[in-house]
Amino acid sequence: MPTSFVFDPNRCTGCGACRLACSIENGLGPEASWRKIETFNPRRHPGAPVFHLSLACNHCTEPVCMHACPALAYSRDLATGAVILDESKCIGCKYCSWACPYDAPVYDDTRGVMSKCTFCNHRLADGLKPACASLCPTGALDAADLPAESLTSELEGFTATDIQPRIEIAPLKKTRSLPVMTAPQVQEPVAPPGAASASDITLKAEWSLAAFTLSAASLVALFAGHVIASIAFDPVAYVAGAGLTMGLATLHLGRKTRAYRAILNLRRSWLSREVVSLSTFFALAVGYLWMAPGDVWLGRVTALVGFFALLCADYVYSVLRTGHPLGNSASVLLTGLLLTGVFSGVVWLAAIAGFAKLSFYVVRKIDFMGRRPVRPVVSAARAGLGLVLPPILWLVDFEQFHVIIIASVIAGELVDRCEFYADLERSSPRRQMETDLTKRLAEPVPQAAI
Amino acid sequence: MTTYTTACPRNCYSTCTLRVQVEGGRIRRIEPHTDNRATPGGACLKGLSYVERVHSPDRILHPLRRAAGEFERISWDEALGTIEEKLNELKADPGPQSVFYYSGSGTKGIMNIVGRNFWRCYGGITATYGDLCWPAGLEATRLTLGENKHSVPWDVAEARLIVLWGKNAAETNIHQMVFIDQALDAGAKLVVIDPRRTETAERASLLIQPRPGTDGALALAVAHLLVKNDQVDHEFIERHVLGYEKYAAMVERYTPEWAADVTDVPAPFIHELAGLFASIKPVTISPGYGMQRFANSGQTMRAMLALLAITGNIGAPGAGWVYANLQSHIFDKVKDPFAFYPPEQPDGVVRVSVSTARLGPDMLAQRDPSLRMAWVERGNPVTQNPETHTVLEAFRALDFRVVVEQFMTDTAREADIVLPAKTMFEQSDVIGAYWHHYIQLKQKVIDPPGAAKPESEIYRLLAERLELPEASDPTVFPVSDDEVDAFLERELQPFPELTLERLKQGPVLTPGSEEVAFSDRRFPTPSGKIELESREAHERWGLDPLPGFTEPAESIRNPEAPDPSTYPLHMLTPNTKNRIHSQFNNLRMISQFGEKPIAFMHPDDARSRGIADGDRVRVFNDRGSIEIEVCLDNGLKPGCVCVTNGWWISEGGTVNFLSPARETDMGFGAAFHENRVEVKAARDAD
Repeated sequence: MPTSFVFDPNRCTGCGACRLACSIENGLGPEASWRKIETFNPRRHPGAPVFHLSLACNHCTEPVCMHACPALAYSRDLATGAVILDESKCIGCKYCSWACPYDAPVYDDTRGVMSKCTFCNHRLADGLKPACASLCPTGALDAADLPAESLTSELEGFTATDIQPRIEIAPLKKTRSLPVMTAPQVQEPVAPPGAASASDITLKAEWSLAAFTLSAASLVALFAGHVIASIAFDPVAYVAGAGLTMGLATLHLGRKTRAYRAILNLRRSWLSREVVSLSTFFALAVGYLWMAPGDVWLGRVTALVGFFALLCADYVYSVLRTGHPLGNSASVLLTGLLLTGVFSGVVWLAAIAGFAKLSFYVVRKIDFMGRRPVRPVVSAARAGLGLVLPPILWLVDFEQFHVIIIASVIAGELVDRCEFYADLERSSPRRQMETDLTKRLAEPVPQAAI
Repeated sequence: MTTYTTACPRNCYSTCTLRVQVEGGRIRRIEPHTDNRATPGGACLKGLSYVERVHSPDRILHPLRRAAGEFERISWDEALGTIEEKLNELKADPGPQSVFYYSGSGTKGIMNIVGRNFWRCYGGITATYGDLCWPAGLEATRLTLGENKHSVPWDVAEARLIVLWGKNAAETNIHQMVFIDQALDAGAKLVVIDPRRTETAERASLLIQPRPGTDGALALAVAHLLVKNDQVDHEFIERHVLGYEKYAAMVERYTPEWAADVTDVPAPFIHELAGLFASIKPVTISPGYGMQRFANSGQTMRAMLALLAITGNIGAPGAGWVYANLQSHIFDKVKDPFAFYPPEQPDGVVRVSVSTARLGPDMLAQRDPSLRMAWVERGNPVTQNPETHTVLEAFRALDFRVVVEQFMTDTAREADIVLPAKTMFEQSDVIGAYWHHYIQLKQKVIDPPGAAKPESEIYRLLAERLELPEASDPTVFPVSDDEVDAFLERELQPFPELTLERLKQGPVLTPGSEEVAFSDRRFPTPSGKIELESREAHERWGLDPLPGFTEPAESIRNPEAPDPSTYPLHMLTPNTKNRIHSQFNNLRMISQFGEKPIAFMHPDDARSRGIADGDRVRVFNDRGSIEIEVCLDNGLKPGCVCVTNGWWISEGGTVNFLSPARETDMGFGAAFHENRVEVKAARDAD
């Protein structure tokens, strides 16, 4: 029984039969497919070869999609080894697609759930290969029973990871690297259109997450301020805020009625941990505010649970593998600490958290220079409102300007959190191809032998 | 689920054998059939998309009548009644030849003869001669080798030098790539000659990008070097080649320096190519069809073929000219290219007087009688024939038009009556191929849906209405499954190896076909040899008996063509993997791979016109214009602009608005690939 896909880019012509084979076999509708074909060097730059990469799910030995799924919708089929997504359990949170570097889980807009290649495990039982592999006209795509540890897949455009994708990719032949061409070299070759074409997480789609995380940080900070500095607030308004925050969290789910499933994967999913710890925090906070308002220990424990929830919120983004989740100026935990300092007037806490945020922000913008949008006006607003104006006002007169300081800090945080979502990059074959092509084109073009 | 064996009858090299799974009257899956050694990997994306095509909501399932610009559903009775009335009227006055019959290459098969039979029974018709596809190359091959045939497709794996000359097999003959890959794995070299850096070119070690229309000059310069350096196969020439001395004397003037100037290919590349021909054997040249759609292209093809003759690369494994293989065309009474030629003695019944290449102008020019009505089947001439404006004018000048179609193509939109056609799955037929050697049964697997009918039934019903004596003869108009089977059995009778029962299992190699073509070194030319010098070329076509070079009609170097500054760009209109001409792109499964027409331009050409990537541009000449989006392509030869052909007018990129209605130098082909244009940003165009 085949256990791995086998792909030979030397034989693939990018015809698209595999994509259609998948659509037809799995009844996905004429334009939907679990298989995608990406083209390396689509503008035929004279300095690089053109080839295709056909990918569906690689049914990895370490399935990061399954680990990331908070709803336990993923499982491994014991008979075939295929990683299977049970759509009836999916809550449509899309974290699996953020985790997968190969773009395998696809979001189905109309049904609000993810869907994904099953390795055609219904065919395997009948001794057949997956439809895509059995319908490749050139034999470029196949499936075979290969030992997982022997698989090699080094090809420009194929993201190297430690999750052991079960696919064997033949290296591109040396002879295929570049034909000698008679057409004169172009004056300024057209570069690839840029990473804009890669599928990304966008602020427009995830604004509710920005609002949710900031409001969760504010509520934790408010509570912590109450415990350490006895700042006063209306408990009823607080509970309303907690309810609103949890509501915001469900807004980005494709299947809101299944939101309860988000707590099922405490063992592996930071999202489950976030949901459980934040709910616990709100429950304890309500208990504290109503039943034991003076209990110092309950207050401290509750605040700690709250900060743990913020930590989880940051670690949710660890699935993207783009830097340390706390090493970001938009970190929810850092926001929580900064706001605690600001709300309660603890100057050292505000100063440390604020300085950390400013440093991380500057580092991020320097890193973005030349390859990602830097947005100078937005940056000025973020740093000015959130991190420069407040300390100045604080120095002048903390009491008099307290409300303005708070508003200014929160405005700065909001800008940063929005930027955070707008800048989130998930790795995908197309992005990898563009990165690798850019790298290849930076090298000198080998001159034709003639 | 029932599985049937059938075969794809499109105008395509591969003619794949398919296993079709049917459930509840619906086509569920198209699976490979490994008995066909040429296509064991299975159908291409178009073949797979039949599951959508057959059951598409856009399919025409009932007769339609145009009334006040809209199409309305009518009954067969009404449709046929209207047609009957018109046919009777025209037959009486001005005569049956005022009816024009046009059939394209949409579906191949021997049942297509039923249409011709009907019109003959009706009393006559005006018909076309020539063809859009491949006649110049067929005639060039016939004049040189005596016959159009080549070795089995898998023989290419034995070649050590493969020259794909103007052919993008990766898109148009994907199954050939399997054998090319096998050859490359065994150490063969691949040369691609194409103005585009195609998908196929990525496998090549050498990509030569000549100015379109100058491939003959390139071939002659290679020959010049082979002759000069004495790298020809004297023994082969002595025994099998006619006219070598004169040919050798002629190529003396075609130096690489001359050719470099003409073709825009630097001389070192010409030396390199000649060096490969001189040092490697066996050599297979597989030319495409696009390059022989020029006014000089018959001679071009002869010049290319000569390279194989003088190096002894004909009739041996891995060697040869893989252009057209008509070995499976055993049912044709007249083989191509002769089938395209107007009869030398007109029979007075069928008037063969409209050149396919000049469809629009010739339809308008018919007199005594002028054309009054057209019947179109298996074709979409409005988008696919040259000079779309004139074709439209010619169709609109008629009183009455009938189009038999599956979908509302641009031609169907011109019709007064549209009749719902069957698909390949709805009536059996027997088909040959033009690349591999197999005879296949294109088996019926489902009944026609809705009110769709096979053409043979439509003709039978019309014959009954017209009270033609043959109307009740099932050997002329086979309709029921039994009648169709009997019709096919009769055609198969001369070949004991071929029975319907056997063909239902899978493809059968054509009886008597040669695995290695010309291995007996018998060339059915007048001299019995490979003719580099052809008297027939002169007598029939008025050409130089030797394949010398002349510039094509619209070449920027042709002094009789418009000034180069007027329309400086050469427009390429190749085929894509996504379509067979104008078929398939109306399916969602296919259009997802390229939903809109694109003009590919070289960045230097775009920059000099102030055009940026993604701009909308107008591509135009005196014949017409189209407005589409530009995509910059670093791999395209500068001076060319490329738009794939087959886009419907409703999709916005019908290239034949710009192409000329002109014949090739031989074979009555269409020279519509020489097509000079200019491109302007749409914002700058008036």
